Amino acid sequence: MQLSDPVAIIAVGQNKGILTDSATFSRWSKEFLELHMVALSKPMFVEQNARHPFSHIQQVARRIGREWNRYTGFVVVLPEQHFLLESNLLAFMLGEVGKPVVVMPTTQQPLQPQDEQGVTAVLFQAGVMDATQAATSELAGVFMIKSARMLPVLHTRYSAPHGATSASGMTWGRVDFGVSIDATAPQRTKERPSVRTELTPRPQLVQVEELVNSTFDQDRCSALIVYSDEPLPLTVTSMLPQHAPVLLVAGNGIHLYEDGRLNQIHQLTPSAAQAKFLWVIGQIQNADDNSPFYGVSIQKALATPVLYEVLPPTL
Amino acid sequence: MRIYLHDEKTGGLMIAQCNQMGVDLLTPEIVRSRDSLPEGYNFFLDQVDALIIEITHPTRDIQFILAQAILAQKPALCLYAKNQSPRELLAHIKKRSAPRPLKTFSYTEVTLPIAINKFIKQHDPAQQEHQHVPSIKYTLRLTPYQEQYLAELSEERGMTKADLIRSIIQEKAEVSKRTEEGRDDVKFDN
Repeated sequence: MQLSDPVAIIAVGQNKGILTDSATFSRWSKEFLELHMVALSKPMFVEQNARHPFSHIQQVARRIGREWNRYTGFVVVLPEQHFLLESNLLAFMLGEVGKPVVVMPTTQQPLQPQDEQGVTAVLFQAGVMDATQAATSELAGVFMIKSARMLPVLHTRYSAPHGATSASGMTWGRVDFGVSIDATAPQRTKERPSVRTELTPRPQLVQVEELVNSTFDQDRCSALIVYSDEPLPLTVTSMLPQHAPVLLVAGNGIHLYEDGRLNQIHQLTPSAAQAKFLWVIGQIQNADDNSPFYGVSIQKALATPVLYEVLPPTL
Repeated sequence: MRIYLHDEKTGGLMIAQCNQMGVDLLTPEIVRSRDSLPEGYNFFLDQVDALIIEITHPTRDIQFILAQAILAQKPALCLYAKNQSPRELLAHIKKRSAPRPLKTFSYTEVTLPIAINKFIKQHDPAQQEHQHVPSIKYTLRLTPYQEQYLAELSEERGMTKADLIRSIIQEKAEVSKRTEEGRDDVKFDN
């Protein structure tokens, strides 16, 4: 039987199902016989840390950096709650990569490790197999598989009723009786990830209602993201903290509020804008003389392309 | 009925037999030639009712397709040339306990069409339904003794005489088929 070089499957811990701890996940992986027909795989487990909301993504990125040479590709299973934001964060943290890094949510994971029956368990297993097969392909970059299409995460957005779609129309291929790669998709290279994992230390992500009702501690946050499905009026700025940068993600677009100034952020998906916001603040705060972020404003850093995150202008 | 057919070994024998059976085929050539899955499909196996795959020298794509088929409980016929069994792949297929959706079969040029014929008949609803609908008119002369026996038996069983005659024939046919299948060369491995 032909098997590729091994694939690493990195799962972030949850409080239920097969992802409660490393031993349970390893046992589930060992008993997943169909996966063994697809590729050699190595399960890895990363705990979530309550102290920083995205520390597990930093751990995943560092783990990929350390294990880069040992595996032909990587599958990363992330919590559902901020799945697209965290996928984008991972992409920025890794930088240019010359191998496939396939992200997938823990949606429909089996609730019992030994539960092989029921639709939910099968759907999750099918997703893991699709991702693992894609991780052995000739693609390079951080992407997800949605409705059989391989979507680069930095161009992916949620829209009803289809869920995740490509904001630019760009896809990298599909899973269709094997993995078919589009001609324009990035191909494998020897590029290693740069692994720059610094983030703003105390970010807060809130709905606009929490801002209006002052139900969170503004004074402690180092950066704030405010969500609203509806357009936000200009008067919202009077409620924003003045000591920390704020990203507003609302029905009337994405705006950065800093030092009393409001600037619109263009040509990024909402998830890419949020991830880049959190990431560039960390890069700026930790920049040394040699860093491209040394002395750069958040506004300028957000506007400067890092990877392929900038969407083509809409006509 | 729609079947995914993957064959790079028999020089067209498998596709010819499937065409003779009148099934709709999806092949790797068709998959390669398109830009996306057809509208309304989120998972590739949902496009087909069953798979027929030549596995003498399995590629990684074939292994992936079969792994997904096992998980999805999608019927599949896995054919390998006689005396050229892909042992490792067969061992993997048999790791899950029976009943398995995947059937394997070691074929020769003679038994290949019979195996495909049997598999399609087992899984094609159209072929099964057609076989069991009374659609042929038949004139039959009976002796008075036979007619009296038929009348008494049909009353006893609460059936019409026509239904009674059909049930007797059906019973005989099924017994005969079971005996014949026991002698048949075309018996799937699992």
